[in-house]
Amino acid sequence: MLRSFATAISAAAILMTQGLHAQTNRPPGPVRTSGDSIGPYDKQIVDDAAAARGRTLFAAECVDCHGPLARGSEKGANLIRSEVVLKDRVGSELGPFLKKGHPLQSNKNSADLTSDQVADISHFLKQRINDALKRSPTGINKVTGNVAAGKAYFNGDGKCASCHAITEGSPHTLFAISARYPDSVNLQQAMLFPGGGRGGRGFSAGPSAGGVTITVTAPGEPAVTGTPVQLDDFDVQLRDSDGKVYKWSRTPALKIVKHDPLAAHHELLDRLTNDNVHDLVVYLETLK
Amino acid sequence: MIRIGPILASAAVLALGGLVLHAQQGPLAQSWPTYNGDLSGRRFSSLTTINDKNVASLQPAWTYKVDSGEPGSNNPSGTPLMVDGVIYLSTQDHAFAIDAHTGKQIWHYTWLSKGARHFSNRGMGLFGNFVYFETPDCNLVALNKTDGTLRWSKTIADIDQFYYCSVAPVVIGNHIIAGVSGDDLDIAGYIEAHDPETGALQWRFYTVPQKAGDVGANTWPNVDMASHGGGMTWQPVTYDPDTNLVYVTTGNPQPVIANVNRKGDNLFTASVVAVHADTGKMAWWFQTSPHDTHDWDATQTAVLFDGTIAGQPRKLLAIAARNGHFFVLDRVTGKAYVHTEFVKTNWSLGYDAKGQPIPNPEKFPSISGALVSPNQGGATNWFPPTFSPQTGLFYVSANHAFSVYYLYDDSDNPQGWGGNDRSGWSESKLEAIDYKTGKIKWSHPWEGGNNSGLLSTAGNLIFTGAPGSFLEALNATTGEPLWHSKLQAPVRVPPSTWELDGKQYVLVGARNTLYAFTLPQ
Repeated sequence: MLRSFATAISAAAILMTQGLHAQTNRPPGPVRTSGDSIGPYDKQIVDDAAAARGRTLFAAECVDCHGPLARGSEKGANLIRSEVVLKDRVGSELGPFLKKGHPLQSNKNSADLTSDQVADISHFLKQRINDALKRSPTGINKVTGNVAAGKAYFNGDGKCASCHAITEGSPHTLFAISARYPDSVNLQQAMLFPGGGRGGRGFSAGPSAGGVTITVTAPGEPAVTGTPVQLDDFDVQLRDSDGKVYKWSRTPALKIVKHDPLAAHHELLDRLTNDNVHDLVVYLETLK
Repeated sequence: MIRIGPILASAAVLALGGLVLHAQQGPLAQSWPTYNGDLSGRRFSSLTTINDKNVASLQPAWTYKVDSGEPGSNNPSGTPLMVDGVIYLSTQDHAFAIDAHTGKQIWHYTWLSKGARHFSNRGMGLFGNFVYFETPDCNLVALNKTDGTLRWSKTIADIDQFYYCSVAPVVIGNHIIAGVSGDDLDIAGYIEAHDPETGALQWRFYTVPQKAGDVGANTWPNVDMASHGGGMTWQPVTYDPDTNLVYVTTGNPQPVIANVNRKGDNLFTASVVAVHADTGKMAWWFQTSPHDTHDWDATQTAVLFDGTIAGQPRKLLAIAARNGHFFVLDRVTGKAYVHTEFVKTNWSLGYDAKGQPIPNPEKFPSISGALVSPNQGGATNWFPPTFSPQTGLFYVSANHAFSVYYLYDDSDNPQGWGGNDRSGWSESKLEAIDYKTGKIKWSHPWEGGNNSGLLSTAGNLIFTGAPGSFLEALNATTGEPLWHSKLQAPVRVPPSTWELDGKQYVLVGARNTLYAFTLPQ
């Protein structure tokens, strides 16, 4: 398997060289797997079984100096930042490096490591690099806070109790809310941003449109209330409760009032401290 | 220090094939020869044919649909260049020349990629008979602008280290300034100057210290963290021929979000850095986000203009940073004259003696989460602002936004990305800021999220994308909406304008289409 993988890499490299600087009509070459892929197309795909073997070997021969995650220590270099490792393809760089001789924990000669062993170490190190590239939760997040303080804020400065009940069956009740959001982080997100929203790099979260209605009053005409169909700087459309659509051109005389049921949540964002947030979450978790 | 002044630079440029110097100075009107139109970053056109009195008559002239042959490379985001009746446009791995009169394609060039993030491409540079763009696999490519044939290419970064490249090269005198992107793994940011004729490397400036004793090294725990500390350079630079300084805005520190192993200010990440155009030596720096923990790079446009501060004429630089703060600096010395929020934020504890925000440790990412404003997307982002010398106002697309920042790696040596933010809420607006005070002159709220680059003109107009996939024009003095036109997607390519055969055009892009507008005959 190792040989066939290396052969595939070589073939890909040849194809890339032949096709470089194509004017138009891209010639056959490596297939792009994703529009947002990270790293080169010929990057090493981690073989998990090989990485597991590499982990054992790394623990026996390398971990004392390079650390359990290969991120280095006072005695050894950070290997996930190593250009030798980053350029390696299943031992292509690591093998020649170890052939020159490198201290091992067992005091064996590193040049005696087999190509399969070097490949296993390579897969383990590539796996560690991939771990550092990830931006997703690792399961360590949990909200901690003070229940009593959360209850006080809920009924006091937070004014949560002015809209939300905590008893079973009441309107807008938060009774057993943790059953819907058993993960405290998810509960926290839902509490702060009940309308949802998209965050992350390069994105605005966007306003929450759910449940928003508008009331439009044209000069000399009765007010009309409904769900906005279009609302921009020039035109307004809404659909009333009977499904009828109304349209206006925006003028200074046209009065538009927006009703956002989540306005209190948005207003609260500018006032909440981290402690307020965390205390509220752990208090809500007690409403069972 | 050898300095190429405007006259000398002009002679050199003309000798090399005919690009006029309006890329560097003078009113912007007949062409759009750099990413920002000129090298000041103002995105202000002196054209008045389209103005606040007649903009309501603006109508479509032509459209051009990008067809690169690759679905992931059909949506441009960089502002196209327009010189001598030809538009030059780039996407990831592709460059195009388009007839500005008709929108018909003249040529198409394809680069065969070796990979890396194909996240975006921000545009092209132009010098004499050549056009330049960066490829995701980090090659600076020079093409003959008449037929799109390859002149040369130079590798500028190592994609095995997870660099990728996207920024529009900027031509300054006889230098092409190229930048790099990528913060997936901990690497160093830098900019390079290349010879426009041969592509030869002239100098490289690292945005983070590379060895002990380097300026700024004492703001990191050790050289290893500093030399892998990020500070990517993915915003096109601006340039002042009078100071001969290149103004570089730098990216976030790395590891991203997690910060336990990089205590200190982490210079020169999230900063404005002035470097000499001919040597790459640093003249001064100003850090908009010391010790950033929220991915708030400073890679927004450093806009250059001359103005008056406290009754004194000053050479100024203004930047509305992703972290929600607006700064007006002396572009000769880096001294801050104005520092203030342009949207309400919650992450800082005032300003230090230099005028830089002081981060509040309570807002660092944590296991339980920290409620932070703005969010990771920022109070603004890469999309360019504009400055009108006519109104004295700095215009920026702004977001009042919140999200929660979580730490995902609580070890003592996080690498790469040690956390992230999650969802949130925001409200978008277009703001006009008085540069002398930082006060908001007017603010136009949007009904929906909006992230658009801007254009101002001497016709007292601001052009911007608007929610609902509109291109919209507003009165630059008052913010009154004057005109809009529905596109097929939200504006992604910021608006630009130029005059051709006596007609003023406004050009904008959305998804895979360029739209040209002009007044009826």
